[in-house]
Amino acid sequence: MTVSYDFKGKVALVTGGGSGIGRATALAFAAAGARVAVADISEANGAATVEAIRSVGGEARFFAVDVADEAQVRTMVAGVVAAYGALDIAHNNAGIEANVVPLAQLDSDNWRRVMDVNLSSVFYCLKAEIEIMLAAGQGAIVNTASASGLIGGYSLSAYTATKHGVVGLTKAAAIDYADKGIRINSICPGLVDTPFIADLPAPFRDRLLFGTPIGRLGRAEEIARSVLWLCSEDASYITGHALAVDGGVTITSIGTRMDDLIA
Amino acid sequence: MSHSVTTKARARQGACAPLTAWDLPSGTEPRHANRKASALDLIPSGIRVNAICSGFVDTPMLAGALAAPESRAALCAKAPIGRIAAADEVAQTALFLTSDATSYMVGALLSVDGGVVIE
Repeated sequence: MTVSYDFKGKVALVTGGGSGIGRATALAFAAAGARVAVADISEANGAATVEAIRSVGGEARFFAVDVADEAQVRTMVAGVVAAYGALDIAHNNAGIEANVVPLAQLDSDNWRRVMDVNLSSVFYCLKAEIEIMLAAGQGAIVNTASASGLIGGYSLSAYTATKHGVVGLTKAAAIDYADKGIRINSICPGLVDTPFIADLPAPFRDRLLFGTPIGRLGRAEEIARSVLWLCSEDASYITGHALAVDGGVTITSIGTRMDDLIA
Repeated sequence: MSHSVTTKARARQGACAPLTAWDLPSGTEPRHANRKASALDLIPSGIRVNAICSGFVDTPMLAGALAAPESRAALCAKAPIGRIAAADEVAQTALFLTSDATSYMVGALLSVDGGVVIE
């Protein structure tokens, strides 16, 4: 059985829309009829997503942004509203990995950068998006957290902290605006076959995959379908939820130590 | 809504186990253990088990409380979203969880509760 969506007339913003989950979500929203604002720090990647959408008759525009910079985020959101006249849906998805090392070896500058890009960015985005959605009296937002927003991971201290932060920020924001017509949820992907995972050292990736009950990497499209569903009317009573789309990785109790993989 | 889906013919379909929002805070309780264990047991057979945690829903179970305006208002006020759910909103979630759209979801729980457990 398949579930289909209709976002005709809606405007959807996707940050990190140039690759991975963000690209899959942008393509899916466009296929469902939405006008899509593809935001990314990489113009080449973002333009490729826009081109992929237009080549099948969809509507999309690229917005250059470093989501760690609040001024750029505000310019992005204002630009989307100027271009499309509205902002109905936002998928705050842009994120980076931290260096994969045990905590004591993690460079503090790396910690701060990951905090800025993965967590503070979501605050900046929410703030700017909610202003627009409050005026419209409606909106749906999905923040990309991670399975690392629900459980701990070896040598992933900074990443885990930011993703737990996204889950918590989502819950608090959801309460603030639940009775204002704005639903805010987070999505917690497990290991997804994206450039993000491809960049992890192979032994780490393989060990993590070993701990995934479904026995395979997720596809970006499988995450995108849940994002669309959370933004659809079918999810009209769902807010503040952290939805695991992780092949079961967060229900296992395998403590994946990787000391042997650390040089 | 059964998770006794055992035949190969139904493999790849998702099973969907109902919980309530109030099962959520204590993740180690038997019903959660059952959700997780059954999900782990069945995924090798291609059967996905996930759970719905509903909040207050407009069903005959709550008919008594919903009949009186004061108690209806009290129930609506308990959820941040400010209203109780229509049964259809829970049904849509069951449909989603048993569809191909959730092909990577295993042992997950989905709160359909208007935010009642996050406050």
